[in-house]
Amino acid sequence: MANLVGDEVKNGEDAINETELFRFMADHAGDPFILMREDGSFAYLNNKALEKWGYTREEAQFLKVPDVDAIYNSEKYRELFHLCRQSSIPPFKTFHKNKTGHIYPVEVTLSGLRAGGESFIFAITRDVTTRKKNEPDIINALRKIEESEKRFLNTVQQAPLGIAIFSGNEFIVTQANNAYLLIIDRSADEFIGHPIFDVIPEVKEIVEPIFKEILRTGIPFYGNEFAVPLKRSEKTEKAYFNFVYHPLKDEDGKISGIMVVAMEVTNTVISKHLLEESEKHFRNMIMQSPIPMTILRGNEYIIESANKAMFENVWRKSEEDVIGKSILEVFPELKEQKYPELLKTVFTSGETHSEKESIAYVEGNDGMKRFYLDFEYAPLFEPDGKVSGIMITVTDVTDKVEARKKLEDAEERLLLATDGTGISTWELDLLTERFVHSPGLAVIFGHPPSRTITHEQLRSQVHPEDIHDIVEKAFEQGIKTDLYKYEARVKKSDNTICWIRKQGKVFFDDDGKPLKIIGTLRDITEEKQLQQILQESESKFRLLADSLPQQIWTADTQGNLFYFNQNVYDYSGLTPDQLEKGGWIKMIHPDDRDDNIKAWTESVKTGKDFLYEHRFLRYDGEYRWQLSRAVPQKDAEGNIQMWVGSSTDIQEIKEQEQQKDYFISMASHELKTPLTSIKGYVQMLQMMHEKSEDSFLRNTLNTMDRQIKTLTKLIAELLDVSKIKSGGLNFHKEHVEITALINEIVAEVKHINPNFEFIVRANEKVMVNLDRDRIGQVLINFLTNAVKYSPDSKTVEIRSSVKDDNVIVEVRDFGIGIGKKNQEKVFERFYRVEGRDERIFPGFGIGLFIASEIIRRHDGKIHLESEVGKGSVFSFKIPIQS
Amino acid sequence: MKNDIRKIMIIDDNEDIVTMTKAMLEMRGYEVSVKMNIVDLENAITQVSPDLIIMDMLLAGADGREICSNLKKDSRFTSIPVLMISAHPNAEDECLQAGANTFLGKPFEMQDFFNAVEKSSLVKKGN
Repeated sequence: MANLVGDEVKNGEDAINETELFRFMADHAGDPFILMREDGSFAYLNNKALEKWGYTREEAQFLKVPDVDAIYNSEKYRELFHLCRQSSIPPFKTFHKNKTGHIYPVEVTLSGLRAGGESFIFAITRDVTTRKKNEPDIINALRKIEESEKRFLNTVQQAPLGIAIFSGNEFIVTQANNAYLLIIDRSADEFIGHPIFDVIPEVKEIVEPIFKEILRTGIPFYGNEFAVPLKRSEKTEKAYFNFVYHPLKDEDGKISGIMVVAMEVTNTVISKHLLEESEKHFRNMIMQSPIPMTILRGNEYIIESANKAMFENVWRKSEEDVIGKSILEVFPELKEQKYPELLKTVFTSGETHSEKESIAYVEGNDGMKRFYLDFEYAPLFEPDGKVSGIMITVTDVTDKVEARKKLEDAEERLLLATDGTGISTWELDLLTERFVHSPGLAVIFGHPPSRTITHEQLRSQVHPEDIHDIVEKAFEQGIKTDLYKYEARVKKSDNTICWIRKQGKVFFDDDGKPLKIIGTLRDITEEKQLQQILQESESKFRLLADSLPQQIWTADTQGNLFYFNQNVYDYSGLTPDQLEKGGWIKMIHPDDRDDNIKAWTESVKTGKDFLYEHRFLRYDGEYRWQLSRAVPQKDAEGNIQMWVGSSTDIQEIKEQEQQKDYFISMASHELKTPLTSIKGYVQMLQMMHEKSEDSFLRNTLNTMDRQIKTLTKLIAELLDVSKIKSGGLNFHKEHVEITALINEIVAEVKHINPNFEFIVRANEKVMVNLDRDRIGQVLINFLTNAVKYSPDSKTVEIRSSVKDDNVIVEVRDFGIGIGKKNQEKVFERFYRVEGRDERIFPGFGIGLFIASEIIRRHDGKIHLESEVGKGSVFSFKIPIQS
Repeated sequence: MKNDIRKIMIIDDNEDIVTMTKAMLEMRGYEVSVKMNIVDLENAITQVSPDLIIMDMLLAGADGREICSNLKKDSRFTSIPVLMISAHPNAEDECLQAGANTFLGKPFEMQDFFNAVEKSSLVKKGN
């Protein structure tokens, strides 16, 4: 405590230093000026006061009011002090006592004052001895002095401060109070009357030089948290003290001893050290914290410290640019924001301020940046309760907020989008019937978008017929399955009817009780109308399909039949179920079935039209011939969507055809006999007139013979056709060397067409299993066609090659060629190329039909490549081992 | 070769064919007898004793294949070669099966006819 006196006097001086003038005036004032603290010590005494009391300035540091005032003991002084703070006190009288014990009356003018957060009493006293002499008060005063001295001694003895007096150069202990003895852990007998350093030698090293210095200079020594080793309870430990070593002077003014007033502060110091440690730790923690923090000091908001997170993430400035400067100076942009105002409020009110997601613009070295910050301004208090600074903690939530804002934007966009697409959203609380919806829903019901529709209103607009049958059933179903869905008619506000589709999900509580439904609602009027049109169009199509005499069917892209018109059911006598489950396959005649499936699979795979003649079983057990045709339905991109097929009953046509074929067979057979006879006579005549001079006769007979040959060939072909139709074309396969056969046939054709050049490119000698006559027939047909359709060119090329166990024979001409659209037809029955002049190109054209049949029966393929005006290449390919 | 076959018997109900083939054969120096029906055929054959029988597969009221088959079964006629002629070229197999030695489809080239006649004589020779 003693040291505090010293310090505070000094501080008082410092304070006054600022106003030198007043200090000078006060120092030299004619009356004592006294500044007192609450504890009765003196913060300031002017020269006159010291002079009156007879103390030096140093001595005065230990004085208290009761030391110089005979009336105001510490208790009375305390009352006075408090009175002074509350109200002004009129001048009053008291008795002062000087150092020598002289008591004199004084008149006191005083007033309370506050400075630097502390309360004082300022007093001016005037010696009124001359005026007050012999006043009876003196007796009282004297009495009080005695009491006071007694009390002083008592107080010293009992004081919590250690007080001791050491005399002479040996520093013999002359007095020590209980507190002091406790401090040094020695008994009075051990201590008093002995040289101090004999009793407590552990302090000698540190204390003796100080004592000696005091003896030499007379200057007191103040120790503050001064560490000395002390052996207490048999243990030497470091103890801390606040103390004053004060020189004692004898009557001559010579320093004869030292008074020690000491207070042990070991615990305080230790705890302070601990506190410092923890503060250091705390500070370290703050500095390392990922949460940006800073401490501002004073009302200029000087940045005292800030952590790394603050520097790097928020300020983006280096330490030297910031520390020790006002935050508003470093970040002038803050001045235009709300923050200076907030800082001021916190500073003056002492109340913490915090905010969430506050926008802040902070200019760092990398430019201005916008933040969303959660922040707190916490005032920092001095021990006296004054705000001296603000600690700012900041959480950068920019990313979070921006993400949320994006989400909110997205939600809003979704809302707009859904409303834009005619899908409105709604939520129904099943407990309160509260119905919330997007604006689009009101529009669907024929109201302005701003209108809010209640659930009751919504129900009232639903078509009465649909309420019970559809809406309520859908609700019951929704509660069961958690999926709420229906389509119903709605009467709009303008009385027009529209269709809506409402669907939602039912949410339940933990007990399975339905709580709410959230869902969407859409105007599907247009959809419904289209659906109706579609249905009408479909029923029209069905009606049309059913009224056709053909059997109509459709198949999916995999070739599975899924629709049949009424005719199919009527014809087959099968049920839809039977037909769809593959029953249609059983309708087909067993002999046609395998080839039919093969052909259909091929069409489905390649997307080529399906065309097939087969027999279907009728309900009455009769098989009837059908011509089935199916074409793929393609979308805009050309992808097959489905197949539409029809089957036409060709039984009668077939029968007629068979009759025709029979007729052809009979007719051609009948023709043969007369032809044989004519031919015989002509050839006899030729022989007889071989050497005749009559050239007309010879030529006529030659022409007759040639025409008879042509006629013979035509008849043979007609018969072949009828045989093909009746399945009666027989083959006699044998191993034939193909090149030899080609050369043989070419020679034969060349004999008849000597003016044509036949170029044979066939080098490989390959034995092929074939019907010599029939393949010869094919070659003759190719060659005679080449000749027939080459009115200008006189060259025909024949080429044979082997590829993948097949032999390929090509016949190329350079004639009129065949157009694309006709190329597929040339292998059909009774087709003939449409020529420039049909008279030049005679023939039934059944030769190619027969040829294709012959090649087919050799498990081969016949092929044509042709270009109009350039010529044609007819070729066939047959397996070597067919 | 010509010397091996001298007498040829033609069995056919078509007069034009008969006349024509007879003329052709006679032109070549064969001795030709004609039977235009199958009445008493066996006696006729026995009487003529031909070196070759030329027969149409289809005769009025009779099947040439059956007649051929019967002749071939008869020890008296079995050695006489038979050339069977038909407008049905596919009938060849059946005719040969019925015992005909040679087959010729109608209409035929004169040269083919002569070749067939001569080929039949080779058959006879082999027998």
